[in-house]
Amino acid sequence: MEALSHLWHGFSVALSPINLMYCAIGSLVGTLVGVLPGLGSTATIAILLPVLSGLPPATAIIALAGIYYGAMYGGSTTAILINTPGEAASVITAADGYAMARQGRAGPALGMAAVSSFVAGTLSLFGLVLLAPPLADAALEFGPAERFALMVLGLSMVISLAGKSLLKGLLSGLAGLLVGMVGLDPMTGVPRFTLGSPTLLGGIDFISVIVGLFAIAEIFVNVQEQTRRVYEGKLKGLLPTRKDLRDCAGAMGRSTIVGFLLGLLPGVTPAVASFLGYDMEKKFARDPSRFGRGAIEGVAAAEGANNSATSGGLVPLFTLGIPTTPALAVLLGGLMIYGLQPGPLLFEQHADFVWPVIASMYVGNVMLLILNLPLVGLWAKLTQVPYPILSAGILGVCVIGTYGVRNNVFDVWMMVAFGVVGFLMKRWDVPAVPLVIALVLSEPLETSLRQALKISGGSLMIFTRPLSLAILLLALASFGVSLYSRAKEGRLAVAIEAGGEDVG
Amino acid sequence: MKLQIAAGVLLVAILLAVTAGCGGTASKEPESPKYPTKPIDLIVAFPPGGSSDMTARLLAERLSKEWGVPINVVNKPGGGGTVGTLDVVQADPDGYTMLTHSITCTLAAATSTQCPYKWDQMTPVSLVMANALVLTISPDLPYSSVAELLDAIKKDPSKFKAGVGSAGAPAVFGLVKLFDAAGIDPKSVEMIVFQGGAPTLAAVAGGHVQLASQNLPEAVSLINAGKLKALAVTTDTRGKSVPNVPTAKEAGFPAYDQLGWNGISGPPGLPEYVVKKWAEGIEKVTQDPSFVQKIESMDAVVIYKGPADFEKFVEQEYKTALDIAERVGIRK
Repeated sequence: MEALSHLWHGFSVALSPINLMYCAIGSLVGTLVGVLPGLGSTATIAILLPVLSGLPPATAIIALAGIYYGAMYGGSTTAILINTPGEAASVITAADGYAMARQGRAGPALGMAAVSSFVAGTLSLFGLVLLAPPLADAALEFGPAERFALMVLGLSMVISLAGKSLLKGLLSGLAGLLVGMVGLDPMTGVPRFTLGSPTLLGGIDFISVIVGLFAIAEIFVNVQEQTRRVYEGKLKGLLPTRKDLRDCAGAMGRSTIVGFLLGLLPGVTPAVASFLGYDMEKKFARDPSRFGRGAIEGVAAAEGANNSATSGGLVPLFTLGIPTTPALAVLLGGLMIYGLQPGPLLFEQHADFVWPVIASMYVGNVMLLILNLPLVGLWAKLTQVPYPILSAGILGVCVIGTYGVRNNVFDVWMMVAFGVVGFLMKRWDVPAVPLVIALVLSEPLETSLRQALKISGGSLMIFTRPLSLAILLLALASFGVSLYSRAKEGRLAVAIEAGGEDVG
Repeated sequence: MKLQIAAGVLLVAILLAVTAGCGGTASKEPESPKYPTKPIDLIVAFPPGGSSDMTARLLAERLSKEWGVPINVVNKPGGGGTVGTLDVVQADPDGYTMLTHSITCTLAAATSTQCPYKWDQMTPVSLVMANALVLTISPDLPYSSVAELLDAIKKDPSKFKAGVGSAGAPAVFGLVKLFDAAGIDPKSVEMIVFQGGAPTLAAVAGGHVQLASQNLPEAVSLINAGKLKALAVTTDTRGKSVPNVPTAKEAGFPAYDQLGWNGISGPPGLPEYVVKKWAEGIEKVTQDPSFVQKIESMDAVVIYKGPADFEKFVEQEYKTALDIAERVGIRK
């Protein structure tokens, strides 16, 4: 197949010393950037773009793509170790990953995140290479009605992740929707809930919320409990065991496919893909109650989905010039500065650019795996650092990262405020993850609903379009399954309390 | 005795001469303070990656080399451009905080009654670049000229929905100007707001909305890939990357002339020497062929306007926008 011979040639260019070096630099910088909450790959790519513009196009884009991927890896590292997701895509990884860290299994968690990301990244690159043009066309059919349906499906996760009390979970979700509404109305520009403050016109920054709710709240809790270390005792094994890998094989495969397909769709970010990948795994699991308490499959699913969504996002970027996330928009700007117009013509006219870039993404994935696996042991030891020292460091990193998002001290205050809120939520057993999911989904949910209704002139019939209807039915099924499993768990819990040894 | 008098006179003369020499410096006009002497913050009121951001970075790179001080491009997104702009409006007018003045910063003052600054509060320094808007329609629609499209809209406006990148985008004003010229009531074509140019154009390409008038750089790849039909560009000359697309003038609708643009402005009360330094620096950069080439590769054009011209330009843009916004009802 012609594509394969192009790919082969691409590899030979990608593996040239200069390109390898820039790939490594990009991946390293990206990982560092991902570890720091707030300073995202978007801003980094934008900042480095002029610096790299002196290099030949393929080399520069290789470096920038390395940053993009590296940030994904870095974000999951802090999510697992210190419950500080570096960005939205790592939030779900923190759920099970940090729980594992507290059980002394930080190493396997980090390792599985790396392996799953690698597998997903590799498989999805094949998807990119072989399926790009037809998939990109199909993605255009995905309009506001379909997007709304997908967001409803995402919201169904709130039920599944609500924890013991469904009411508290729903409250948390509603709070998330409310927080998402602060700022300018996305379609008319009218200020909402801004209390006259010009800074609130920009809304409450997402990073402030997740860093506050996860990292800062965790610090408050640990201080109150006088935790001495994230994990006391010897670290049990630094890498995932063979059993772990076997258990996760299904999760990795499924989440890769789901993540890739979702990443193609305009407006669907790797974060959303990670939510849906995780939820799907939970529904397929034999014992869903383990999810949220340190299920390694959860980490594998979340990381697999977000990494393959990252590759999936490259499909519309290269073939149609449509960036599905802000970071890709900057990358697109970079391509344009080189005079490289994305589109089907890019593959034909600039084959000498496209294939080395694609090949080097694979190389980047390998490089990140090699960089990260040995470091797992080192990272895992962080969980044994005395907490007073560790928490001071975390606090510092969080403040700097949160400030760096918009260069606005207000965001830092918001982070502290949400830290307090998160602390109270933990004390009152209100789950934080539904709030975050609802927050991430609130804007696309609202805008796609309003766009769809405007297009249809107010008629709800627009949602009966085949794809949209299918997704809505899936969402309904998801609601159903989640409610059913909760009821089952509930009955089991009641039976255990009531019957003691009779349950078997 | 005569010698003593002579010596005395000589001494006094020397004394006077020296004093005059010292006094000479003091009595000269004060020189402008040395500027710039420390790093400058160039604010961009939007997230990284857009045309404002790219322009700022390219400009900053050149000027900092020229002046020998770092110029930091600082992104302060939020509020559709108002948060960053307000930041500069409230900054000290010492020349160390400047604004990448995008058209959207001015349009926001026209479309929103809640805009936290007034359109004329900033000190205009220069216009740097402008880009065309391009009228695009879904590829499966049977129209191949602006006139055909407008005729179809006149017959049944309710069948046509336009996508725009934000509530106060230049796209909105471009479409209104076009409809006005054709005798179509702008309110009869529903404008659906998406989050930025990319989703808007994706929606047109997918047939979810029928037309859009986005920035040319955003649409080029889809046009050349055949996923969008382009009917006209708003500049006087055809776009280099889309040479087959007629200009609005050629298509018979010169009123469709809305451009997107970026310039530089400063806080209110900016001293003359700062304005002059920036204006001269920018003028020089805009004549540098490699800068021009980089701007043109974004399919924009370099247009330099000095402080006085830029001030008039901004006023004109604001007044036109305000008039349209009030008439069509987008001023809230």
